[in-house]
Amino acid sequence: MPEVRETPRPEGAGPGAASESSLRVFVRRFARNRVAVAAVVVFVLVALLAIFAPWLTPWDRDAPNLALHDHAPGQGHLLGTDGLGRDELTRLLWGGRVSLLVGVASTLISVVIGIVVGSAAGFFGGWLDNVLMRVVDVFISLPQLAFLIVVAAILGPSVWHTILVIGVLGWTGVARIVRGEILSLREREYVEAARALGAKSFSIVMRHLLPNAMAPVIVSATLGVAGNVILEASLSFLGLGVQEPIPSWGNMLQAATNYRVLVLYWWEWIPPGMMIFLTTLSIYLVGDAIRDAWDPRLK
Amino acid sequence: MVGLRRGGRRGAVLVVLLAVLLLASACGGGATTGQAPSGSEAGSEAAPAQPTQVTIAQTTAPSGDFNPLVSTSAYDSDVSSLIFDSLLRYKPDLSFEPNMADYAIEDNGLTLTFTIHDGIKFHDGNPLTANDVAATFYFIMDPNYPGPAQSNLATLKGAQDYLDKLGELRAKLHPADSETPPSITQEQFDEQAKQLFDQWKQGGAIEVVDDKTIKFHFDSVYAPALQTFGGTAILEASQLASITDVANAATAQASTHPIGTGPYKFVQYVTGQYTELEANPDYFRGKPKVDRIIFKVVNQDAMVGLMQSGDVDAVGVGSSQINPEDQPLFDQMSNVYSWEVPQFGYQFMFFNLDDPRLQDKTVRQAMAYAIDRQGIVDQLLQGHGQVINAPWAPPQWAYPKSGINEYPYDPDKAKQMLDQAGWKPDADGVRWKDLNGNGKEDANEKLSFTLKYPGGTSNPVRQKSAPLIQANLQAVGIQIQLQAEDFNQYISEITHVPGKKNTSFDMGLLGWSLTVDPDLTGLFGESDPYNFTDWSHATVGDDYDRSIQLIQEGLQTFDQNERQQIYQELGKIFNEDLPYVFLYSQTNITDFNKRVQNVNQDIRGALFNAYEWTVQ
Amino acid sequence: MGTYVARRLVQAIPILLGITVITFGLAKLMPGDPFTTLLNPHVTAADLARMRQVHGLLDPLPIQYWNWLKAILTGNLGVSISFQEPVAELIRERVGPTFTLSFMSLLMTLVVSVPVGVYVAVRQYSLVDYALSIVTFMGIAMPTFFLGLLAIMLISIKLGWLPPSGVVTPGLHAPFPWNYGDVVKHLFLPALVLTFGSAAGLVRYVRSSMLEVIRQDFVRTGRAKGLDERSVLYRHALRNALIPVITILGLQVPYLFSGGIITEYVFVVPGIGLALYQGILARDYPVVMGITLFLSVLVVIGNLLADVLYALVDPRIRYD
Repeated sequence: MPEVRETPRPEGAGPGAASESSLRVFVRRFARNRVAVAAVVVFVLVALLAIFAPWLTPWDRDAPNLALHDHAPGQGHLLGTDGLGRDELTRLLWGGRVSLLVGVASTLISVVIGIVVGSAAGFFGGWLDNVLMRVVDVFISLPQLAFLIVVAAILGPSVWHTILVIGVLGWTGVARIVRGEILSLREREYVEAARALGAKSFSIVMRHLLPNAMAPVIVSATLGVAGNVILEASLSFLGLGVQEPIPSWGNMLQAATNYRVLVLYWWEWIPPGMMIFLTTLSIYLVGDAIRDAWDPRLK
Repeated sequence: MVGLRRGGRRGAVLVVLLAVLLLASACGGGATTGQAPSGSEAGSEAAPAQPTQVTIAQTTAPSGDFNPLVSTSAYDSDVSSLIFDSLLRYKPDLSFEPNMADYAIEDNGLTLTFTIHDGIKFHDGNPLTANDVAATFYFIMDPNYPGPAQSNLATLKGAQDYLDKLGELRAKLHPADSETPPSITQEQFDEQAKQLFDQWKQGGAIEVVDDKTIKFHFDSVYAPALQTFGGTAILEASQLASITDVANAATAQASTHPIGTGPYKFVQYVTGQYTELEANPDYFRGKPKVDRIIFKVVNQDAMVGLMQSGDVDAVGVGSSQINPEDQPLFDQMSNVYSWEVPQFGYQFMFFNLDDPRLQDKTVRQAMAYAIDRQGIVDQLLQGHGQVINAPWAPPQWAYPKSGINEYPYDPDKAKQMLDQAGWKPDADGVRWKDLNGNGKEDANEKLSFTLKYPGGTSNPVRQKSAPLIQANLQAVGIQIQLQAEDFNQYISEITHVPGKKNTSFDMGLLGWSLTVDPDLTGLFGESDPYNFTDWSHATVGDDYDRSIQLIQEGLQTFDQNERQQIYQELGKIFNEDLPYVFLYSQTNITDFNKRVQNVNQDIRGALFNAYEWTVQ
Repeated sequence: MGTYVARRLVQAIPILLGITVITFGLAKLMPGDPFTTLLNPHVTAADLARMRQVHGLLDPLPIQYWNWLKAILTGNLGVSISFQEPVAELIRERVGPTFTLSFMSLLMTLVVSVPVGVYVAVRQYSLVDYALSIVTFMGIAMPTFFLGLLAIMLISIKLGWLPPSGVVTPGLHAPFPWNYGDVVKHLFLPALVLTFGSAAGLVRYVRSSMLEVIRQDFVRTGRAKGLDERSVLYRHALRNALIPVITILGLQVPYLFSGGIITEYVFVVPGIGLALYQGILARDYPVVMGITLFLSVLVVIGNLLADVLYALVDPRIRYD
């Protein structure tokens, strides 16, 4: 493996170094990026709509009403109804809950696994590093979506299983980042000093190395949320993720693979598609802005 | 800088490499399309007239195994039904008539004799003989036969005994309990299995009398024999003989380049895209009028657009059904005509009879009253179907014509029945009954069930029916949680394991298609994997024994009137006991472009008379 | 270098073995098997046992894996149960559509991203630059299936310009250039959809690569020598900026064969991805194993290629 080292970063460049002023610098830089601020607003709005879904519309999420199926927007249904006469807007908001929950929760799982594996590999090095990195290689070499489909089939489709599956398979990126950061930080003076002072390896990792490695992890996690929202949608779109009657943006879009819906009932598929798009776009923009604000040279 | 520039040159090498790959890809991608068909092209050289062609939409790609004895894909059989022919074929009233052979039932039903008509040739020019028929059925009885239908032939003389011994032998090689080591090796199995097979063949169950005459001898009368032996596609003995590895027969010539006696010859199958057939000039009913038939794989959801643009000429043919909700769009097209026929498939909601709550017949019957099945037909099927009340589809002659309970939609009656049977609503409105006798409401005493059904892309109409059923049952105090599952997982969970109580489901939705012959063997026996409900003496009492007896009796006479009586009684048992709430049988809608005429419009399907189709 | 490559290939063996073990284990953990869903009432328990035996599914799992591995070593990928053909044959047939689609999209990506990337790099911090960065994020954020459905709806159905699915017109026995034209016509739409996502990434890459080069000494020197800006940019800077871009593209070569499940599913392209998806649904173990192995080998080759290319491009990296 070629050891392509990252350019060492000057101390205190990121808020990871935990000085009050640098956090302020970060916020100021971030706030100057108007696109990013707009993206944050959009994302927060989407999240609020999802969180308050049960109270925002008068309709029951699952109650079918065949008399009013495939109805265009109107008659109290702001976004019309689906093939069973259920209110599209209600399902769209609830679907946001599921999609965002899966996106965020699975990323958290990935980040935790990634940090544990990455810091173990980076700090202890040697054979452990070797074995762990081979495991990473194996995971990276597996066709991702296919792997997700297989594991989803094993566990059976449900919201929690989808979270678990996406989370457990998505940790390799974070692991590599953390390992790389730790490798480059490990030999620094303060770590040497901590070691000389007799600090336990666990506490060195926790107190000195990890905080310094956090910046790229946070950026990667932010982008990861967007990627996982799309993954969940893909899985549900193929019919292997979240299942009816629980709505997710992915399985709502699946309904559109019918010609009739595609052509005649735009309200049944354009909104969930646009929600996925808006959500991931805003997350990507925010992630990019975080990276910029942290260290503009990383761009 | 020098280094970088050198890299630049290598970059250029890469670009060249990419260009080479482009050419390679073009060849790879286009190889199949560039291939000229063998026969029709030669014909068009002489006559400048454009060959006539009909393109039929297939919603799922065939597997490409066009050996009808081996393939389990219905999409393969739609194609192979034009390549192969069977000895008999059925009439609109579902009785059989001669096709390639005449038949006679002799020996009080213990012998079935076929006399092959003259002038029938395989596509390679060889005449059809009794040897080909014998080879076809011997192939099915081979110990390594990879297809499904072997036990259908078990009533042939000595066959059940042979298959039982084969099963014992298999159990020696693969003991059911994984702790026990195998007591024979694979080689020993192969050798002994071959011996058993040869012994059975020598028993003379299949007797080739002469080139044109073949007799099948039975241990007992087997009513579906006309279907089993008359309805099986006949392959050429030499092609079957060339299959050296029977277990992998699917990869042999007989599967990839099938040769039959049917109206169309196989030209090519372009993986996942289309199958091309051309008219067989030597077809025994005369050369078909349409020169070329294409089965094109399309996305079910794109069919409307393709039909509109004329890219396909026919949808809803064979197993490739259209979604009834799409039919209004076809109706609007001026270049399309359509018709619908009832079919053999039906949908049902089945119960886990191992569950004490569901063992109460009243609960099952109340659910039948509570579900608005006509509403499902009207709304989800747009009226293209009918409510059923017995385990057959309406066009089958076994379907009881009268004297069965229709279970009309009547939620009040359902409530009343449940009240009378002691199922009272609790504070939440969910009914319960003190089955455990402890005076308080336990979870397993509530009428609260999980309804499972295949999710994903499987049968969208059925998936849509689940929330409707849920709402209907909720209205009478029966709580339902819906759970869609992956199809394989679902079937694994509901599959009946003999002697075991199934705890992995409460209720489920499923549908299937029975054969033309209404025999129900394999669906309700205590050892049948498809007896999902655990229909058994333990769960339904004497009705089980009577039903099994009737299924047996139904096999033992060729007299259709007599069989009808038997199935009438059988149907009443199921109609009364309701191991399933029978839901609906969808009709099959077929749409054709108006330029294709003379298409068969009865229950035998459009492909039945492809040789008579004409194109304007 | 030669020994390095050899060592890497040897190192790849345990990785590939690990992948096959995991794939096999997971494939077998999926509920059901190829015959679970047969649902043919005339199939008895004995029939099912026979079919399972014939396909080697009754053997203990370690033996099944061992048999598969032994066969692989003799170059036999086994026979697909649902597609009813040898897996090697299946892969060979399906690589064509997959590769053609990926390659078309790669070409389109190149044609779009290089000029656009250079353009915005030269005008860094301009309005166009900002606008483009948002557009590229749109490309990354747009789910393929949604864009695919939109494209089918607008371009195929409403406008009727391009076919919505498939790879060839059935029964079209066109002479040489036209048959390829037919394929291109069918695959243009999915390629376009793929391009939208991948061009977004490449534009950003070309831009940053170009920016880096512009800041370098020789460009400054060129400018200082009074060379005309255009010539500095396009003769000197672009050439050097494209080197890493080409490296990236080189890395894509193995992936040209692997295809995407979603795109192939939406546009009904019978490629590798769709076959894998269908194989998984059908519990077609030989297909799942065979295609996963094929894809993994591609990834290994891709990674190796990456490291070798880096070394060729950047003389500071040395392998020993």
